[in-house]
Amino acid sequence: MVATVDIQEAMGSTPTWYTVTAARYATYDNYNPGTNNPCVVPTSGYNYSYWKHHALYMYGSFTQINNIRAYTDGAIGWALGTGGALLVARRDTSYHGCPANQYYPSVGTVGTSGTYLKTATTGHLWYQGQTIAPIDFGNYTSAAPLTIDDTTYTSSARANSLVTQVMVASDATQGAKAAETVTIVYDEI
Amino acid sequence: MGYNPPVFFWVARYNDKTVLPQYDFESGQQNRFSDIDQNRLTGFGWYPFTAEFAEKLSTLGLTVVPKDLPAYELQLMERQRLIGLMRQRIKVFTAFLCQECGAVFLAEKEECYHLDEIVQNGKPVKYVSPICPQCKHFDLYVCPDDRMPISKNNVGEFFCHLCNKFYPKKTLRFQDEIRDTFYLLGWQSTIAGRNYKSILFIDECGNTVVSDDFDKI
Repeated sequence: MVATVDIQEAMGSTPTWYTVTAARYATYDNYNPGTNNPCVVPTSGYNYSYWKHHALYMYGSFTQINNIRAYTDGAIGWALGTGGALLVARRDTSYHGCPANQYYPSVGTVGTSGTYLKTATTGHLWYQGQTIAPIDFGNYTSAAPLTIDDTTYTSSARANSLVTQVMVASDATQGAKAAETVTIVYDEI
Repeated sequence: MGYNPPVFFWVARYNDKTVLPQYDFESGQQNRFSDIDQNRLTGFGWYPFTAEFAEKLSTLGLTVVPKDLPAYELQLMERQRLIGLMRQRIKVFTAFLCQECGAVFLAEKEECYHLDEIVQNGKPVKYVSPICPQCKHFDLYVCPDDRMPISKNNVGEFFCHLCNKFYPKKTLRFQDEIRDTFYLLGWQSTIAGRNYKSILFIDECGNTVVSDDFDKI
């Protein structure tokens, strides 16, 4: 048979994992924020959403799962201003996801801005010390997806998380944004 | 359902003319890919489920999809190693339900949205609202008379606080996903220190692409 695989989002410090139902970036840590605490356009510099962890949780009958990757349609049309983007966190290694045991809860000022995930001392511990910076997730398409995890899983497990964060510039256009699509791909035998 | 029901099952062929199927043809018992004896392997194939076989497996609680598709078989030559796996894709997107006409639709391009732009505090603010392709309804986020953003009162009603007109929201958004599977069938071989491979990518409709690029699809 094939494995059962759910896409889950982490929330809180423990964390608690929830099957994704309505992913939306906000300025607080919540897997289903609705329209509460929306991202804020700053008067200067940049504001950020609270970062999000999304991971595959796999269980059921399978021999192995590996080669977990993610990509977009190549154009995140959210008008986030000069330098603004939907950022995806990256590592200096061949894979860019965050292992479950390296989870780090998102922090910031509720209702205003999350902390930039690569901030030296207060950012995400798994990424703050890396040389490579987060990048516009739109750079990763079906032709060149982002490798989240290069582990081979042979039993139930939660894979490395895709960690993303919205970066909003002062010349971003305010208002609700169009929905975007993300594709996760993995190999199974 | 957190998985995409399979359309094909594999059968490994051995050098003594015996086979190891993914599902035993009589009992439906599952074999794992790791059960395949690679030392005796001479062939491998992806086979479609017949309606009868699918029915048998369903009595065991296994959901598969019978389709009238061809079988794809590979005969391994000397020094060729099998490439046989499923490539699973999960596409996560937002869909919309129009409560005016009941249509469920996607809005993946800019032209699928109604755009309202006003100026607030000297800065442009844009509001996008998906347009139902069936009845053309879209929710309003800006009062068309006063050009002010529509607010929500403490009982959840949407209204313009200047003219007190109500603008109920009739478009629900929800997250959904599409799962599909590609079945890979191929071989790889090391010749004079260099790795060669050839892979057939098979989709759930039986369409195929051949490539030496493992990440072609």
